Formats: sequence, C-alpha cells, structure tokens
Amino acid sequence: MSLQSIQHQQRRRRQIWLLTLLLCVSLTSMISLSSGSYHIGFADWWHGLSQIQQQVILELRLPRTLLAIAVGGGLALCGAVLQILLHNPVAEPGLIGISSGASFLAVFFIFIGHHSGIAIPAWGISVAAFIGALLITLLLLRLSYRGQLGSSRLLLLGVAIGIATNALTTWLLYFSDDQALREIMFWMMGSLAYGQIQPAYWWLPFIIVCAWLISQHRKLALLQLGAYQAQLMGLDLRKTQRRLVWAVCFISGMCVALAGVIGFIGLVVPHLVRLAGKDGPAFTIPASVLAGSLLLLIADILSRSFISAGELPVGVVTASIGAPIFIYLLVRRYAFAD
Amino acid sequence: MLSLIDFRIPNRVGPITASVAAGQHIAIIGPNGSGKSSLLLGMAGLVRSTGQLLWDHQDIRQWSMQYAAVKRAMLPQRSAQLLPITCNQVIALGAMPLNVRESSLQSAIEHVCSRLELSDYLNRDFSQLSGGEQQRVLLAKTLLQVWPELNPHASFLLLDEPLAGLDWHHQIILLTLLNELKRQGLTILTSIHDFNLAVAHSDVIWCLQQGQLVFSDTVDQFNERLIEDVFCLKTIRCQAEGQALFLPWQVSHTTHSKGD
Repeated sequence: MSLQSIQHQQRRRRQIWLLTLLLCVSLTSMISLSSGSYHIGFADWWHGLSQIQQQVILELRLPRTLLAIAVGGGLALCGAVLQILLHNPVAEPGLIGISSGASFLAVFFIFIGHHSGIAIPAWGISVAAFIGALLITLLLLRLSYRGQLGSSRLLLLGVAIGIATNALTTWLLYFSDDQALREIMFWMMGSLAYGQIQPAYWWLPFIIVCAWLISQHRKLALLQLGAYQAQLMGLDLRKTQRRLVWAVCFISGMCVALAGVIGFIGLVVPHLVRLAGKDGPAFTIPASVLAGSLLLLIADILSRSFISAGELPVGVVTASIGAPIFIYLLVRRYAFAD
Repeated sequence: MLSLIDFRIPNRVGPITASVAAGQHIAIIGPNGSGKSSLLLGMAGLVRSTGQLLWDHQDIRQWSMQYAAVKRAMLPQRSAQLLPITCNQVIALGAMPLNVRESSLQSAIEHVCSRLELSDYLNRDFSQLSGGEQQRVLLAKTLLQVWPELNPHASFLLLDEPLAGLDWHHQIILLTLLNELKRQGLTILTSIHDFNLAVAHSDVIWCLQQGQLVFSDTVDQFNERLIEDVFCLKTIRCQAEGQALFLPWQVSHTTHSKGD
C-alpha cells in the first residue's frame, strides 16, 4: 500500500470517528436539554416548543448542558496533553496538584465565609479556585526549572505540591463546623449545579486556549518521542513545556472553578480514545475533547435522573460508572497482549 | 569542516582537539561509559560544553534551534515511548524543521522507507514494534531530516549506536545507505561497537577512553594493540578479501584496569 493511500485511509478513519463523536455529543445534548423533572418529549421538539419549554431550556438547561460539554471536554483535553507531556499514562490535572491548589483556595474562602459571617457569592468561590490553580502552576514551574528540567521532575513536584495543599485543605476541614463542612464536601465532589454561563465572554479565553492546545498536536507528537528528539527538531523544550503547562492549568483551573473537582475524566477519556485506535496526537487530542464532553453529559443526565428530587454529585457518578467499565476494557484489551 | 578545539563536556569528555573533513564517515568506538554518547550529544548542542565547536568557522552552539535542526540531525539512544502513534507519523516528523512540499515529502518518505525495508510498517503502531524495528523507524525519521533531496543545507549527521538492535541484514543496509549519503557531501559520525564494521564502512576512527580521545586516524592505522590497550581484549587479526578482521579472543589482564 502506498504512503498516500495509507494517509488517506488514516484521515478518513479519523474523520469518521470525530464525526461520530460529534453526532453523539449533539444527540446527548438534546437528551440533556429534554430530561429533568419537567420532561420535554421528542414530539415537542418536532412540533415546536411552547413558551415555558423554551424558557426552561434556555435559562435552566442550556447553561448546564454547555457547562458539561466545556468541563468534560476541557478535563479530557488536559489529561491527554499531560499524559504526553509528562510521559506518564496516569497523568491528569488532579495528579500534578492543579485541582488540589484550586480546591484549597476555594475551600479556604468557603471556610472564611462561614466563620466570619461574610457572604461570599458562588462566583467568588469560582474565582478563588481559578486563582488557586494559577498559583500552583506558578509554584510548580518555578520549582521545576531550578536546575535541570525534566518531565519526571515536573510530575514528582506536582504530586508533592498536591499532597501539601491537600493537607492544608484537611486542616480547614478539621476546623470547619457542620454547615461549612457540608458545603465544602459538596463542592469537592464536583457538580454542574452551579452551571452559570453568563457572562458569555468568560468563555472566549477558554475556547481560544482549548483551540490552541488542540493545534499543538505535532509538537506533542515530537514530545512523545522524548526530550532529545524534540530539541533536535528545533523545539525550544523549556518554552514549549511551559506554554503547555500554563494552557493545561488555565483550562483545568477554569473547570475546577466552575464545576468543582471532577476526577476520572482527565485520566480515563484519553485512554478510552486510544483503545479505539493506534493513531497519534493528531487524532487522540481532538477525539479526547469530544469523548470527554460526551462522558460528562451522560454522567450529568444520570446524576439528575437517579433520584427524583435533588441530584447526585456528578464526580461520584463518573467515577462509579466509569471506573468498572474502564477496568473491564483494559483487562479485555491487554489480556492477550503478553 | 567540523572542528573541535579544546572541546570539553564537564566531568564527562575532553579536552578534545580534532577535526573532520566534510564528506567523511567517522566511527566512534570506545568501551561502555567512555563518553561516546556524551560527545555526540555535545556535538549536537544538546548538553553544555566548553571550548570551540566549529562548523566552517561558525560556532554550532550559536545557531538558533531552528537553524541547527536544518543543518544537522541526530539519532539519540532510544528513549521511552508509551503512547500509540503510527510509524508514518513518526517518520514524517523528521521533515518538521524543513519547509517542503507535501508531494516531495511523500516521495522522500517512500524512498527512505523502501531503502530501510520499512514500507510494510508505515501503517503500524510504533509503540508495538520490537526494539530493532523502532530503531529503524527512528533512523528513517533522522535520515529524512538530512535527506539531500529534501534538505540541501544539511551538513552533518550524528548517530548514537544506530546498529544497536538491528540484525546483520539491516546493519549492512544502513551502512551502505550512509556511504551514499556521505558521497553526497554529508559528514557522518557514528558510535559503533563492532570494530570490523567500523573498519569496513568508515573512513576515520575515533577511539575514546575515559572521555579522552586516544586514537584518531584512518581505518588502516587501526590495530589489535589499540584494542588491547583500550578494551583489555586480545584479538586475532586476520585478512580476508583484502580486509582486516579482528576476532575477539580473550580478556587480557596484562594492561592497566579500565576504571569502569
């Protein structure tokens, strides 16, 4: 088979997968918009929605659905990039301390709010979480570039910083009263309930950074072959690594800020995508985004429909349904490998 | 011309003063830990070095990363690789620093791959290949970077144990291909463990011992005394088809200890 036909075949396979995923995301979004205590059937969509239905969808469900798409896609993207950048298949934003940093600062503000009597609005907590993620990134890059750089050094420092900030969070939990504790725990379990999308321009930098990360797939393919290979091809390793880490932290910081700590997606989605094909980052990066959105949408629908009144934290749903499926797939895939 | 003047990699190699004429193939030999890889990494500008390292009177370390990627290519020793990626994607990365048309890139990839007998591998997953197969794919990527039809500005090529993991058949294929590239003007430095292949397929031999250059001369000056001094190994020299061959015979204890 000639190179041209191989490349052609590869491109087509890639397109088919991406289109299928996109279709699934669109369909699931429709289901997400329709489901809830006030059910909207397919017939309603077909015949045109009533005033109330439009209002419910636009004001209540659309922000939440968009949030699920953004957070799921963003977390999966961060996981896919970090796994390549750190040469480690278990890397995800949570592992290198970004989520811990974000949740520490958020918990700190919830704690302060409760114990001082000052009402801190939800967006204030989000901003705190975002700043926490950025501060951790700054610390991580500062420390890891003192002396020689290396992906394992970055990873180890991230893990250590994560443990340290988690310890601080635990101190706060220990000194919290019951009401504060409940709020903190719910926040840490992750939820799309505070799905506030306005103002819309908040999302512009998020989308730009995501698009930029997806466009870096060739550099990521080089980094995958090792630091020397990347440098030999003219890549400024330090600058590239730093830019990628900042982008990942920006996105995952925003995800944590808007939806709390949702584990599992960043770790597992890139693996699921790679189980589907042996393709390189040109495929796995955009496919991870779509698959992450899809997974979180499904988890959110389930979390809303398990119990009639109220809802489960979505992070718990992703982990308890996803993890067994993931273990099954891994065992089945690698059972005959060796 | 590539010249090293008082070239030193702190705590590893040097000082070395030597030069290489363009269009020559230099085989670098030496026991494990003698500094072959460090020397090659230093010459590629990847590790810090002192002294002078000149290509046509310009210091290589002053080149921008982009420019260096056009002037030289290097095959480092194999690095860890975990995630799947197809071989054709890996090989095509070799042309990343170059500004080439898609059609000429495709024909160059096909040419390199047919020479290295990789045509059937293009669609396969790189991470699932054996060590020797991965080595050939990375070789194809490295050669593509300095392939004369794609990159007329390429000056030199550094290969760190390119024969490691390859079977005899592919070793000779590679050495023949390197010979052709050399004749087209490329300067090639290869670290190699097999004295006989070094003697048969290169022009000059550099021998390193504990970071020092203890021998740098044409291949016909290479002899069993040097092998015994540097490798603590007695060899039998024989002659076949006009070619000197060294057969390892026994470990010699008469010389001073190697220190590693």
